[in-house]
Formats: sequence, C-alpha cells, structure tokens
Amino acid sequence: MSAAVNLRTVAPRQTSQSQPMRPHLILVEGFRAATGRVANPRLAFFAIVAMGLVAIPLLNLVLNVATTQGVYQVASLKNQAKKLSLESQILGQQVDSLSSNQNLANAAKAMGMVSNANPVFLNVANAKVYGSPSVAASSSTSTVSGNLVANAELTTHTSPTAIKKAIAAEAAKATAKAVAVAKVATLKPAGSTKASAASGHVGGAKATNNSVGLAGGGIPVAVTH
Amino acid sequence: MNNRTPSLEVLRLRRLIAFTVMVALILFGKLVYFQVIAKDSLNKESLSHRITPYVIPAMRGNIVDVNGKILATTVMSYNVTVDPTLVAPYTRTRNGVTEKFNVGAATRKLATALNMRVGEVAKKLRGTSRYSLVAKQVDGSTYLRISHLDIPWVYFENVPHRIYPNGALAGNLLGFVGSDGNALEGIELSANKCLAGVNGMQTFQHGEDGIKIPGTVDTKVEPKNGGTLRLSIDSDLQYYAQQIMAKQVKSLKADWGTAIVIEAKTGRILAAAEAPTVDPNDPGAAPAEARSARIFRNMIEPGSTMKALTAATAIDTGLATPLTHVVAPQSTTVAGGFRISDSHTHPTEHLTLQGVLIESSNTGIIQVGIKVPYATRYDYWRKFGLGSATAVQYQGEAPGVIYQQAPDGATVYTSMFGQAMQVTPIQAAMAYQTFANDGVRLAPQLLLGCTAPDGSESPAQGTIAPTRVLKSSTDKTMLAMLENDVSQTGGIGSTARIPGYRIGGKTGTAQIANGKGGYGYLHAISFIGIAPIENPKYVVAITIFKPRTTSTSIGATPPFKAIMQQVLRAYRVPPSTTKSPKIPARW
Repeated sequence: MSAAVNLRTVAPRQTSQSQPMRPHLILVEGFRAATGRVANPRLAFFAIVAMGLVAIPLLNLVLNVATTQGVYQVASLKNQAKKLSLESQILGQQVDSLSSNQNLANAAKAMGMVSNANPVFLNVANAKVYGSPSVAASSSTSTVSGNLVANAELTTHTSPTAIKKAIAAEAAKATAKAVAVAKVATLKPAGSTKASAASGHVGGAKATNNSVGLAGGGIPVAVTH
Repeated sequence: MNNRTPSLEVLRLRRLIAFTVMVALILFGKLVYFQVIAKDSLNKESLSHRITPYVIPAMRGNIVDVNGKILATTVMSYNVTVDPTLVAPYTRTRNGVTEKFNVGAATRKLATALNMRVGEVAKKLRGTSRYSLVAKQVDGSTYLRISHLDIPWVYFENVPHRIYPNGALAGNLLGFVGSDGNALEGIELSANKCLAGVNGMQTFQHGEDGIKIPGTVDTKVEPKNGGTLRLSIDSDLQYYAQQIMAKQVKSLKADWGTAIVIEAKTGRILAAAEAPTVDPNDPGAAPAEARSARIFRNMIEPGSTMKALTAATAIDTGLATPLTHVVAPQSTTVAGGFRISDSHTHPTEHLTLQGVLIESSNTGIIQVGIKVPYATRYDYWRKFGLGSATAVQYQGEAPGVIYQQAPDGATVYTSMFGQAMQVTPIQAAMAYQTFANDGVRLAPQLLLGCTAPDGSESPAQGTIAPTRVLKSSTDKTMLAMLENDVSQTGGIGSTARIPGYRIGGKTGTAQIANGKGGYGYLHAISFIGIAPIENPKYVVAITIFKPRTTSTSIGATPPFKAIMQQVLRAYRVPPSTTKSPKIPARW
C-alpha cells in the first residue's frame, strides 16, 4: 500500500515537476509534426535569412547585368532604326526628285519627246474627227522646249542615256529569249522580273552619281540600290 | 624626473586625443557640409553631368496637291559641329586591326565628305572654343558619309529642313520658311496653324557613353507633328501653266504674267501660275516682287474684261438685250466734258451690244452702261465679288478698289470698261466663274482641308454661301455673247478658238496708271475664257502686265488657248457636239 502510496505520491510529484516544461514540449511536438523534421528551429531561421542575404544581392546583380545588356541592345536597335529611317528619307527624297515635273520634262525632252499642242479627237458615234491633225512641233506656242520652272531640290536626275541603253539591253534580251523559247506560244513581256533586275543593274552601273537608269517596266532605279 | 615622464606621456596622449578629435571634427564638419549644407547643389551638379534634356524636333506637316503629290515636306538635316579643344589624333579598331589617324588625314576626309576645301575645314577645327559649326544643314547622304568616318570629335545636331521637291511649282502660292523653320510667306504662313508641330522633350540619366543608366527615371514628352494640308492645285496642270506663262512673259518682254484655272461648278483653283516666280527652296534667288502670289495681292485696273459685267448688269436689269443698237464713234465726249476713245482706230460703227463686246468698243459700252444707275452697277460689282478679299484669305490678299460713290464724273463712264477700279486676278477669274455656273458665284477653294496626324480632318479656309448674281436666263444670254466674241471673226477674241470646242471669253487691254493722275504707255493685257460653252466646266484667266512687244490682248490669247486645251485634254472633256448660235454684231 505504502509503495502504492509512494508511487502515487511520487507520480504526482513527477507530474508536477514536468508540468512547467510541458507547454514547450507541446509546441515543439506540433512544429515537429508539421515539418516532419527534427532540427533546431533557430538554426533553420538563421540559415534562411543568411541564404536570402546572399541570394538577393546575387539575383540583383544578375538582373542588373541583364538590364544593362538590354539597354545597350535597345540603344543599338534605336541606332539601327534611326539609320533605316534616314535611308528611307534619302530614298524618298530621290524618288521625289525623280518624280518632279522638272525632271520628267527634262528627261522627256532628252529622249526627243514633244507635247502635241493640237490634240485630235475622234467621235466614234458619228466617225467625226475634231481638231486638225498635225505633227507635233517643238517650237509651237503651246509647247515649251525644256524646263522653265526652277528647282533647287532637283538633285537626282533621270539619265536618258542609261534608259536608252537599258531599253536596248531589254530588247536584246527579249529577242534572245524569243529565239530561245520560239516554240512557246506566249512570250514574256520585256519588263519581266529577270529582265528588270538585269536592266536596272545596267542602267545604274553606267549612270553618273546623281542620275538614275531604268528598271524593267519603266520604273527608274536609284544608283544607291 | 620619475614624476615628469608619465606626465609627458599623458600630455602626448592628450595631444593625440585632441588631434584625433580635431581631425574627426573636421571630417565630421566636411561630412555635414557635403551631406546637409551643400547636398542640393552637389546633387544638381552631379545630375547635370548625367542628365541632358534632348529636344525631339516636331516635323512640320506636308503640303500636298489635289492628288496627294507632295509640294512641301520636312526632312531631317544635320549641322556638323566640332569641339576644337578635343581635336587630336585618334585610333580606331576595325576587324581587329587598330589604325591610328592624325588630324590632317581626318580633316581631309571630312572636307571630302562635306565637299568643302581642306583649308576651310581646318580653320574651323582650330581655337579654344568648345563649339565650332563646320557645315550647316547637310543632307542625309552627307551625314551618313561623315558618320562612317567615325571621327570622335565630330558631332551632329538634328535640324528639320523644309524642302519643296517640285521647286518653283506653285512656289508663288506655297510661300517659304526661314532657315529657323518658321513660316515667312504664303500658305506656309497663313496655314501655319495646320502645318506647325510642337517639339517634344526627353530627359534621362546617362553614362559617359551616352547610354541610359538602367533603373533611372526617363521622362519623355512626345513631339506633335504638324498636319497635312491639301490644296486644290493639280500640280501637272500647274506645271504646264507655269511653263506656258514663263515662255510668254519672256517673249513679250513683260513684267509678269498670271494664269488661273478654275473648276466652274466647285470654285476650285486647279492652277494659279505666275511668271516670274519663286523657288521656295531658294527664295533669295527670286526678286522680292516675285516671292508672293500676285494673283491674290496685285490689284490692277482690269480693262475690257469688265465690259462683260457691264453688259450682264444691263441685261439682268432688263435695260438692254444682246441686240440693243448703238452707234459707236472712234471717240466721244460725255457729260462733264470727258473724252472717251477706243483703243484702235475705226470709222463710226453701227453695233449691237454683241458687236460692242466683239469690237471691245469703249464708246459703245458706255451708251448701254449709262442706262443702269451707278448704284445698281456698284451692287452688281459687289455680287460679282469685287471690292472684297476672297474666302481663301490668302496671306496679304488685296480687297481691290471699287467706289460706292463715283469720285468724279469720268469714273461713272470709265468704270464701265474697267478703269477707275482695281481688281486682283483671282477676283476677275471668279467673276467669270459666275458666268460659267448659271449666274451663281462660288467661293474660290484653294486650301481643301487639314488632316492632323491622328487622322482628324478640319477645314483650312473660310467659305461663303453661293451668291446668285444673275438670273439663269441672263447667264445663258451672257454665255452666248461670250461665245460669239470668240466664234465671230473680227475681234481679237477669235484668236482664242480651240478646234472642236465651243469657247467663250473676253479680251482686256487696260491702261496702267502712272501714279501722276494719268496713264503710262504700257498696258496690262488679259483674256478670261470659259469652256465648253454648252456645259461650262472650266474658266481660264490670263493676265500679262506690261508686255513690251505688243500692246493688245493678242498676247494673252495664245497662253489661254494652250492652257485651256491642256485642261480639256487632261480632264477628258469630250469635244462639243452642238453648234454655236450666231448673234448679229451689226445693224
């Protein structure tokens, strides 16, 4: 009995001794149960913080390097865009210059073209001719030989010589082709893609610095191409 | 002795402490100065090295013709500058090879690229200034050539540059801008609100190499480019008309000439040509009087073209018909003792009002015109659009001069044949547009509209409600009379005939006031015509000022004929199929 008493007395004492420790143990047990690991929680915390302290600047550094690279890439692309827009501007100016009335008039004159001051109309309904048919004369009152309208921006000129050469080259090529494909019923027109590329090159190569020759289909091509 | 040694050490220690404290205090003071007192100014100075505000220039809008062909545009040009203090030999590595360039070689390369003399360029590289302008506003190709040279002390400034790809084509109308890009004359100035843009600005922090520092604030205000202004001008027709006028003015040894083409049913100005005129790319090359639009600014006495208005007024008020009889002597004296004479010598003629127009008789028209009270004639002038600037409101447009009260007795008569009044070439042309549009005058249209970069459209010029000037019946009579003026032989009008088409028109030979109360010996000759008469579509008005090889309008009909022919051909007007009715000219 006494042993039992003793045991009883000891047991509660033991219980009372371990009682203050219990709350800690319960908490840790809970933590342990959640993580499934057995480790010092403080150490884990410090490890995470230390890792963060190292990783964040590293990440920052990597990002910074990447951004810096990007900035240089952006600058280079911007530069490229600027150059391209400049090229487009230069070509646009050449086109404007070539399509100016002054250049067209000069080129037409150089190729021996004369505007006919006496247009003649034919009325199909009554088969009547209006106007007096006559040969176009370069000295008529209503034609002006050569350009009289000033243009300081006329910097790129059509080169009639180059055009003539290009036309001759095209004709020669077309003839050669016609002979070659004589059996084929349909003949490609003179301004076909292949012929145009070749003639554009011929026209451009022979032209002076600020004048242009002819690409197939009659479109002038700038020597800068 | 034993007592002094520690005290010396203590002293030294104290001195050391004092010295350390003092240094610490100085450093602390300096720190306070840098971090607190001078913080703002130092930050500012530091930023100023890293931040440069860049102006992003706005591009001035284009001016295009009726078909969208560019008449004025803005491109980027470049000022080539050098910092002379940095001019020194430099090295460049290309394809792994490092090459050294001396200043002389660089100067020669730069001079070749700029097409300048070497000495001229070398002069601009010397000095102690930090800035030297080597070449102004070079074009894109030159810029590329120089930037390929890759000279470290050569810099560029972007400068928008206005160019007119068609040169003097419509130069009289377009006007021009100054070297600073500000509008100075013509449409450039009057439509500046549509064309001008607003510059943008960009600010960011950059390193030595000019590259943006990542993560720093980048403020950017986008530039607002100008709008596109569309004109009613057909540039091909304008070019043709300018060519013809340049040739005619030269061959007649005249001061100047103008040609206007109006689309009768819309009032659109298809061409407004002048000679001599200005190439807006180089306005300095043209004489001052040729740098603007005489068509809108120059007032001249119109002369006999006004006889058609006098006849129309008399017919519209029921006081005359085309067959009204007059006896026209060579010369006559009117009330008040003023002597009125015809320009050409002729015996006394029995003319109808139609005949008066064909012969362009002054003594004949006054007998018809006097039937209409002066006040009524004044009202009709106003309705025809004389005496006030047009709806185009061209920069510096002249309103013309007509008198509500005749200043003297002579004016009552002379105004019937276009003296003692002043009109601009556009006013005269629009008066004839009335004849070509069933008696209804329209506002001339030159600026068709402004398209902003966002695509929104806005009107670019004022307008007026169409004005009914003549009864429709009167207008039909007038068209027939103007046609007979050309179709009947005898008058100068017959030289304006165009085979295949029914043409109407009236000549004018006006004396020019000499500024001393009289007239000089030179004239202003004109012809205003309409085609085709059966369905009028176009009006062409020619004025040539002070021709020296002829004193009659025989010099004005050839350009009319050439330009009208071109108009009819270009606008695909089929030849007339009806015949001209003949109105007797004599009795």
